[in-house]
Amino acid sequence: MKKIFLVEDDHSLRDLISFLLTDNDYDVEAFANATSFEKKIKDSYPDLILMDIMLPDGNGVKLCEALKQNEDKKEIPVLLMSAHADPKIANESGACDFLKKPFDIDELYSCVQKYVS
Amino acid sequence: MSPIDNLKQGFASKNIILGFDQVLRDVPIPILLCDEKGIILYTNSLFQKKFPAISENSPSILEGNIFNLHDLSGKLLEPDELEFRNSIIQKQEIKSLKYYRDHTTTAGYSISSRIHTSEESEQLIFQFTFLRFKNSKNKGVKKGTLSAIVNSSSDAIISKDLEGTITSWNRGAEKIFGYAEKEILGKNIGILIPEARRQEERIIMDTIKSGRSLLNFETSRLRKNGQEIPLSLTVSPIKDEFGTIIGASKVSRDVSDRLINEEKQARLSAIVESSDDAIISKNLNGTINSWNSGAERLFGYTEAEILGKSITLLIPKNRLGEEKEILKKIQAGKRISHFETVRLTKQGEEVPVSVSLSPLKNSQGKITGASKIVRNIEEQIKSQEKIKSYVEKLRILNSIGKDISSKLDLETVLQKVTDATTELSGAKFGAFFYNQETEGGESMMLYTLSGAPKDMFEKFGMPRHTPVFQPTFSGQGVVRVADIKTDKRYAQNAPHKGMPQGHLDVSSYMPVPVISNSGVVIGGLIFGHPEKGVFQKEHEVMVRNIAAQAAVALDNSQLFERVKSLSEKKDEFIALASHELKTPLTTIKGYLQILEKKIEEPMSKRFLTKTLDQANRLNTLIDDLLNMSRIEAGKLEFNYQNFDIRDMLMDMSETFDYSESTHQLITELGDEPVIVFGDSQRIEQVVNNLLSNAVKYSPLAETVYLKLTTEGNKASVCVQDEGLGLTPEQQQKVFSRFYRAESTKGINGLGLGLYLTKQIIDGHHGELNVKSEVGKGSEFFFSLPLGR
Repeated sequence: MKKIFLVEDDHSLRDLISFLLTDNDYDVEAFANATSFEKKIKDSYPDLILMDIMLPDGNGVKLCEALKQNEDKKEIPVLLMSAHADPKIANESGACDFLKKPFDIDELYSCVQKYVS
Repeated sequence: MSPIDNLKQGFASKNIILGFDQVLRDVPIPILLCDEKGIILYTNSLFQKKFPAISENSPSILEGNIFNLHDLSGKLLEPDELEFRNSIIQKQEIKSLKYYRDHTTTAGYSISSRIHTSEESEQLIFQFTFLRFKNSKNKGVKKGTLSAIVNSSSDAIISKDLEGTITSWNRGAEKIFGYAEKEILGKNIGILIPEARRQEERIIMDTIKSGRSLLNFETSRLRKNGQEIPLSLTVSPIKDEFGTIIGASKVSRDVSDRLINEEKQARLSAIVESSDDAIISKNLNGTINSWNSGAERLFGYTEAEILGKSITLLIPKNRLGEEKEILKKIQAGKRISHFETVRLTKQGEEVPVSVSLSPLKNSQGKITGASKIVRNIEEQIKSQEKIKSYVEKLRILNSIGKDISSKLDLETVLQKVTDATTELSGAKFGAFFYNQETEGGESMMLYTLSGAPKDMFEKFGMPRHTPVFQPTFSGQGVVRVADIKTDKRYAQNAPHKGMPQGHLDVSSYMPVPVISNSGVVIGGLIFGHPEKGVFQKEHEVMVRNIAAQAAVALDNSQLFERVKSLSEKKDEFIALASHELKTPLTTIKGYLQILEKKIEEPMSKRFLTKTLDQANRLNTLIDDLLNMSRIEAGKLEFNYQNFDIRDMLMDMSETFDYSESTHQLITELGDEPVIVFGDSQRIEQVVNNLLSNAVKYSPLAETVYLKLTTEGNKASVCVQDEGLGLTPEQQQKVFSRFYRAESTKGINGLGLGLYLTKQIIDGHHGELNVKSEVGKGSEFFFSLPLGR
């Protein structure tokens, strides 16, 4: 089973995405903030990281850039989510793709599938 | 008739002031006229030169100490100016009231006044004459001064003992009576008294012996040649050190016209002699026959070497033609006023001058030559040029003010103001200290510097409420000090007691408060120079004007900074709001989509689809608000690239068919790809907006048309409906923000769609237009540049 880390501070959306991905047979571990994610990612190697940009204690773009600097983790695809950010910023940070809120669930499925397979 | 004669006769003509002007304009004594209320009616040209700060626009003389005159100790002459003012209030003429222009010199003005009555208006006109005088600096010679006065007096001052023997005899007495001092001393006073008036002397002597004085006793006396002359006598007793009366002093004033004329002549020639202007006369051949000391100073020739020489000596070769013209006019009896030209000095230097000439006539009225007043206008020209450059600088400052709202930040404006004023004031260095409130409401003092590196001041801290700085930062007014180190306000503050060590050397000091229109002291411009007395009144006036300009500029710029920060905050707010709004929207959409997939029952499925549509609409509205905020902050950016707009429109028409079941879309897109240069996402937004408007505002129609054409280097897209249509007035307003046509009541919308559409097309250097007719429908079309 493919492992997905989900970082999203809004708990309703976190629940929804967790539900959708679990329903599609992914192993989802969800984090409500940057701190708990950073702690965990140190010794984990998920197949995909799905991350909101605007986090209460950090910025998804910065977190993504940090991961890409790390030899050990840079191969993990990062999928960023945001309500208004420029897709270019996501691209430049080394993220594999960008999901603009509000997205359709089909968009989410196809995007995740594309980078996890 | 001399100007002074004219004045004596009073003025009754309608153009009183004009009359005064004709007479007084070129009189080489400063003269001022005012009315009973102290309002200045007229000042002649020399007055304007000597008192440049005072003009017809100055406040009433009665209101304050406008002449700013000092007594010898440097104290402002408040009481004397009071006396000066009182002469107007009490309608009394004054005689030689002495004023000192500056306490460091003993030169000053002796002011006398004359009151004219205008018969027509029955108004009094006060004429104040400012005669220049210079006091001997030598103190302790009061006696000498007194004897000088006695000697120089035009009155006869005589002393005699109780027997009537003459014991002293001044020059005035020599003139009036015709006897020399030598021949009269020791003689009896009786030889001056006509036979018929012998009785008088006894009465006079009785008065003196009783210790009383005799004032202005009108009588007549005899000259040496036997001629009887009218006199006014003032006789006072002379006492010895024990108070015993030992004789009498006698002042006799010749009240005949003869003396008045002589005196006037003397006074006139004194005036000519003391004038700053060169006053020259010449005959009709151009031979110089009089030459005052002003002419000596201006041209460098002494009277002795120039008299009898030709005036052409003073004229540059290329201007010799002027003299012919001048002589022609003089011979025709015409005056020449303020003719500006160039003349030569003895050293061969060219000096810019202003020349005024009047014909001179002999007693038969025949023109025999010309009098000529020549004024050096080098300084005047220099200051005119300066003024020109000030004006230019002001213009620059003004335009800075205009630029501020769009470009310049506070720091740049202040630097420019500081640089400009430092240069204009002739200061070695200038600084601008200003108060600024931080976001937390904390008051900070910042500054810009000109003429010195910033690090030279950094370590000294900011000027605060010391006696030197306080008047400036509390907005009291301009301070102008010739040498701050000798000022009593200086060195009052611990720890430095003066300038801190390493401070730039400052003697001349001029701080100017900068006060906003609302009266708030924004800060102060401070100028310094290591030399003493650099800053003059003119600098003060000018810098004060610029400070006012600067205040306006600062007001603008502070406003700009505030607006900018507000707009940045708004931006932040919108970003946050859109994030906060869109996250729950994503959740709502997600769950609805899950339900949509799971529910089979047709009614529930239809409701779910409608709910999802509304969620999508909500999303579009949030996007519109965000885009508007970006446009207003100038932050709507475009991602330009070449793309096939035909391809895009074809895709869109397919989606349209699928979603808009109420209307049919008829397309005319041609057969060839059309590559345009632009932001495809934004252009898609534009077309979507036009299409959804077309559907929205044609509720009763069934068709919407979409056309694509190319012409020249432009592609043109047209969206046409058969709906409500717009009146010409509505067409004009339809692209403005929040505008919604009256006829659209009941149709949802914020009034942002077309505004954003227009902004996007404008940003692409394209054109968006509308053609419409009420009841028939509307046609919106935009053009875009073709790809490269």
